[in-house]
Amino acid sequence: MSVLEVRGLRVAFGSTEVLRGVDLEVEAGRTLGIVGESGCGKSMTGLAIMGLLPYPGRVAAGEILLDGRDLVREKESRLRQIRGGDIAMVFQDPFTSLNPMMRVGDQVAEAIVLHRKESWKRARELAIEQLRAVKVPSPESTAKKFPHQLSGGQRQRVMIAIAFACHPRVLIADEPTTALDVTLQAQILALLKELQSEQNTAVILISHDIGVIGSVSDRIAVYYAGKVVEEGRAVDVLHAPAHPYTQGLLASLPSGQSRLQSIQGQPPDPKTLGVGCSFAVRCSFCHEKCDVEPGLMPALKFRADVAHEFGNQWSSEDGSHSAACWLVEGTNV
Amino acid sequence: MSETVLRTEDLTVVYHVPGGVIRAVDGVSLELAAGETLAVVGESGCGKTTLAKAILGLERAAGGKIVVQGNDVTGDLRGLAKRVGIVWQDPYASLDSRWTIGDSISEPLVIHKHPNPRERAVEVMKETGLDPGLMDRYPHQLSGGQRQRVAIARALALNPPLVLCDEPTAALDLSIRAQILNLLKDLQASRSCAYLYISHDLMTVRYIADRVAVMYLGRIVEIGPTGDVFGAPRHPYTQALMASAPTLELVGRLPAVLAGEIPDPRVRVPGCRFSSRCPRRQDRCVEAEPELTIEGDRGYRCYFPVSALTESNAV
Repeated sequence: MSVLEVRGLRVAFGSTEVLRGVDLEVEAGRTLGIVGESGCGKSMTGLAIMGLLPYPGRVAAGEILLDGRDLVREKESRLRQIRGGDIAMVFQDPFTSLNPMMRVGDQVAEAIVLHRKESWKRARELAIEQLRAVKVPSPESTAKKFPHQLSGGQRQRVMIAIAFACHPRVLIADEPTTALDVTLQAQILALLKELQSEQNTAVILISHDIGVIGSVSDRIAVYYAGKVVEEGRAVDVLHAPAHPYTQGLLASLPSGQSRLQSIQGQPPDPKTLGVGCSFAVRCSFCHEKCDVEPGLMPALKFRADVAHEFGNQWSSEDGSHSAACWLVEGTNV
Repeated sequence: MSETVLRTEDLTVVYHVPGGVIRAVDGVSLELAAGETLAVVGESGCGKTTLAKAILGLERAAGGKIVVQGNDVTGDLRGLAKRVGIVWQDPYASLDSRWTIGDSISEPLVIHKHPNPRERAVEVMKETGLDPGLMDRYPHQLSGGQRQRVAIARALALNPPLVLCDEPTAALDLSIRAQILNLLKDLQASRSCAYLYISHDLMTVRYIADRVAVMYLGRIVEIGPTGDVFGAPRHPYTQALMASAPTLELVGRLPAVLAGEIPDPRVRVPGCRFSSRCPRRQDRCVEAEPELTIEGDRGYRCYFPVSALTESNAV
């Protein structure tokens, strides 16, 4: 049963649509990875779910269902309870998302006071426990520090402590490790995974880094120009990509020293999108049919044969795999 | 062996900061031959960008020498500018937003009294895959990939024998990154310039570099041919660094975790700089810093190196 389900989500800034009908769902304890290049709408998805779209952005159509209740139609007062309570968010840069004037322990406690209705005294004690849970060294003294006194890795741990303080049903992590070095990135990913399995949280991980997405996601949604162009189990999407864009992205990753296959051209500007498949101008498989924009359709032929290597980890999971490309049409007989 | 383009000897850069002294680059010696790419990898604060700045003359060397094509250019800014090109991470910040592309590319040519700066600018734009018709545009009118091409064109305008690249693809999207990496490789093949390539992105480094130097707290802890260093790291830090980068072969598996963070660089410890986080630490490691051990064409600073055959494959 999905905790969070997004149906036909459209987000517009004036007459420009940055999300053009997105469907997503994520189950408790599972991770959905959203991958795409800048401007593809992946961050807007997170902000729309949180009800934090920057002005003048608005949800033009679609539903965002948390346990079946549509957040798009909720009142702002109810959304304030949900934000930080049922749905928490971790941003890329903890230095700009933490309050520089407030001790980090109090910032964790504030979330507990607001959402768990504890007294400040009790919340401060719980905050120290929470900082211990995210493995901040000497939590008692760290709680009294200000963000600028912490390293980048410690600040991100504090952000995660705040996010998990109220046992959210859903955590949205938008590029949580992009500002960090690889060794810290590995630490933070492991920490997120650990807290997620303790609290059975549904996680949406947004990143441009396919390696990061691949290492923690159960399912992956590939974004291009405001749409999901491919969706499926991580192993299928990464080892048997069906959409030419996904194939191109994976081929442009360096592996060894053979020459890189780059995708020609550049991502489209959402203001000037024409009709038809938005990837067509860059696609080497483009044909007449591509004048009509394809929707997501099953791509079951593109199932990784390697799945058995991963043991039973995947067996209980929904094995569907789909791509928005006419090439996969009719491959499922 | 081809001509040596860059040699640093015991290069040291010191920052005086409240609470102490940081030796951001601490006795770095390296050599770079024509047509070769040496990548310097390491995490934030390891000194890789400071090293690049010192070689460019943007940071004063507190000690040591920088030799470009046999000329000692330590502290000689003009001599450096002619011989060393630079491509920074963010072309939006490194290009003057109120100058046209043509002006930005021609500037080094004018300064160094090139006879036909405009013609040469057109030529170098073509070489970097830019339409010379963009000459009168401004940086904000170009895409990210085009801007980085402009930065590369500017760096190569004077045909420098050495080009420093400081994270040249970090700000670019994946599909554009591949285009720029291919361009850098093509340009090197056609003019056999040397690249000193600074990056924390190991996948990119593996693609572009002939040799790799791994830095930690101002020191090169391991250096050698790319295939050897990636395939069989000898220094435990190199091994940990490689293991913590996610790879697509291991879908659904978290990268290995190296505990701890880079210690305060103001505090100098007598032993190995990596000893506070090292899983192989023994008493000797905290007593004195290991010297560089040379093995063929590679070197490392470790008393208890990872043995090539037994352990590196197990990670």
